[in-house]
Amino acid sequence: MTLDCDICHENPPIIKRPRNQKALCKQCFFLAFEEEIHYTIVKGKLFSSGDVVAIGASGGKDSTVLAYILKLLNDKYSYGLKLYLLSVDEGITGYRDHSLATVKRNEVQYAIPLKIVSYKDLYGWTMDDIVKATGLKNNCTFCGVFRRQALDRGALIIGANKVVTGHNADDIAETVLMNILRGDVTRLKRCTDIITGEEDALPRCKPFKYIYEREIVMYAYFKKLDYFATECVYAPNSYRGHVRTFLKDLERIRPACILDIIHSGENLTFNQPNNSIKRGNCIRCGFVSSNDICKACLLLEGLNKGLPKLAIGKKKQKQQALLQYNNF
Amino acid sequence: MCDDCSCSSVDKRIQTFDDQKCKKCGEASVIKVHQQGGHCVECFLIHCRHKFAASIGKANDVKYKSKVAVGYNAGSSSTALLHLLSTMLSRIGKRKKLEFICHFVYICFEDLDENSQTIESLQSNVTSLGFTFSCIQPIATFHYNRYLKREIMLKTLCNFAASGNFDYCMIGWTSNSIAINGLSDVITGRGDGFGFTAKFNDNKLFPILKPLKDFTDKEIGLYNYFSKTPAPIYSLLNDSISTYAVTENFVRGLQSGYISTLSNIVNIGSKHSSSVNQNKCEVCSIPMPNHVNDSNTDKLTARSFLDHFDKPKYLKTLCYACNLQNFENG
Repeated sequence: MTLDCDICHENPPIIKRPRNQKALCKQCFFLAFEEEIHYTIVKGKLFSSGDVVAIGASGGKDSTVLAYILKLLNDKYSYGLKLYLLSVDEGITGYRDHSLATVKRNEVQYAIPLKIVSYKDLYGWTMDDIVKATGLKNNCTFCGVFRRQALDRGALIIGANKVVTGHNADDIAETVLMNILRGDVTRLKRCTDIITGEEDALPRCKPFKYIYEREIVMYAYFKKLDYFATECVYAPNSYRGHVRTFLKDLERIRPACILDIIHSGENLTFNQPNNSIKRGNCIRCGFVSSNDICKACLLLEGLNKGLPKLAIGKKKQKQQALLQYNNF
Repeated sequence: MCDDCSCSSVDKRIQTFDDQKCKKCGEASVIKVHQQGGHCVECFLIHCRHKFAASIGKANDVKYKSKVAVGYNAGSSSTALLHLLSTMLSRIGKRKKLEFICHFVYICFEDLDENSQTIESLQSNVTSLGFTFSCIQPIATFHYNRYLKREIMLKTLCNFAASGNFDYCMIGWTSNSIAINGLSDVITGRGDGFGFTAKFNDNKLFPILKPLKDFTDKEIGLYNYFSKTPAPIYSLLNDSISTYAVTENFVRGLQSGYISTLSNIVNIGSKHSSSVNQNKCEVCSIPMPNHVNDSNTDKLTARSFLDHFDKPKYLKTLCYACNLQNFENG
C-alpha cells in the first residue's frame, strides 16, 4: 500500500478499493463513493423531481447507508424527492426484532418518516411459524414472495411511486450466477436491470448496483452509521448461501470479478421469444399478479391448509388448478 | 429384520436397490445410469456408444466423408473420444452420414525432442486404431493464465485444420468442461462468449464440434475403466489458486448436491444467442460490439460505469475482458 492517498496525495490511505486497487484517504473515499452513486442515479435516470420514494429499510448496512446517502444527495443535488423509510417485520425472533429497533433510531437520526408493515398483520403468519410448518428448505421462497408484496403494499399506503432497495454489486453478481446455475433464463434476462417493474405501478431501483458490498461496509464504519450487522438466521441453509461463499472465494483471488459478472450478465441475450407477461389482479386479494391467483395467496393457501409445499415444486400447475377448483 | 425392535419388518433405513438387474438384458448390473436404471458393463458401453453417435447424428453438422481434425492429449476425455470414434466408424453400416475421416492432432507446449517418448506413445495409441496422427507446436508459447492457454490450443487446432483443408475440428469437452469453462467465461467478463463455449458447434473461428457435450466426467471415466483404455479415471480436485480452480471445485461440489447443475449451465449457454459481428477480439475471438471503445452511449452499464470513473486505455483489438486481464498482467 502506498503512503499517500492516490487522489489527494496528502493524507494516509484507509482503504484500497477492490475494483481498481486505488488507495484512498477517508475524505477522498467518501467523495468517490458518493459521486459514484450520484452518477448511477443520474445516468440511470432512476428518479424524477417530485417522486415519493420508499426506501426498503431492514436496519442492515445496505439500507442504512442507502437512507443516509439518498438524504445527503437529495439535499446536495436537489433531486426534489420525498423520502420515506419502509420496513417489513417478517417475525424472525432474535433477528428482525433487533433490526427494527435500529430502523426506528434511523428514523430519528435522518429525520425520514418510517412505516412498518408486518407479515403477521398482512398474512397472519410470521417467518418463525412458516419455518415450523415447512422446515428449513424453501422458506426463502415464502419470505421473498411475501416481502415483495409487503413492500408494495407498504409503499401504496404511504403514497410512494418508487421503491428503492440496497441491492449492491455483490447481490447482483450472486443473482446472475444463481440464475445460471438454476437454468432460469427468464430471471437471468432481467436480473441485471437497474430499474425493474417499470411497467408496474411501483418500479424498483437499485442505486448500489455497481457498488461493492465491502465498500458499503467501510463507508458505514467510517461514517459511524448505526446499523444492525447480523445475517438472517435461516440464510446459511439457502441455495444463495452456496453461491455467496463461491463469490467470496472468487473475490479473494480477483476482486474485479464482481463487476465482470455483472458485465457478462448485462450482455447475455437469449433466443427465446419475448413472452410479454400480462399484468392483471389477483382474484382473491386484488393485488397485481400475472396469474389469476397471485403467488402469495397460493403460498398462504398451502400454509392454511397444512400443505406448505402446495405452491412449490414441479406440480404447482396441477396444484393451482386444484386450488382454483376447490376454492373459487 | 429391523434393528430397532427386532420385529420382522424390513429395516427401511436400508435403501432398496431396485436396479440390481440390468434394465436391458437382465444380467447383474454394475452401474446405475441416471433416469435409466441399472446397466451391466456391456449395456453401459453400448449406451455410451449410442449416445455418442446420436449426439453427432442429431446435430446435423458433420457431412458424409468430411475431414475432421481431432484434438488429442491422452487425457480421460480425449482417450474416450478416440475409442468412441474408432468404435462408431468401424460400425457405420447404413448410417453413411456418420462416415467421416479423422486425423488426430497433439499440441505440444514443451520441447519436441525432450518429449519424444510421450509423443511416440500417443502416436501408437492413435495409429493402433487405424487413424493418422500429427504433433504440432502451438502458435504462441507465452500464456499467463489457463484461459489464454486454452485459447492458444484452440486457435492452433483451427489454424492446422484450416491450412490442411479440414472441414471441422473436434475436441473432447464433456459437460463438466463446458460448464466450468462457460461459467469461468462469465466470471471473467466474457459473457458474450458463453454461447460459443456451450454449443455443440462452436463456430467462433472455425467449426469446432463437441460430441462429448452430453457426457459427464464420471461417465467418461467409467467408460474408460470398463473399456480398459489407458487413461486416468477421474481427476483430483484442483488445488491451484485461480478463479478456474475455484469454479471447478465449486461446480463439482454443487453437482453432487444438485444433480442438474451441469445440465442447467450447459443449457443456458446453448440458449445464449451470440452476435455474429465481424469485429472479433484478437485473443479470445468473441465478437465485439461496434462501440467497443465508445463510452458515450446513453445507457448505464458496468462498462460505461468503469469507463467513466477508471478511464482505462483500451486496446481496440481486444474485448473488455482481455483488456482488463492485459492491464492486470502488465
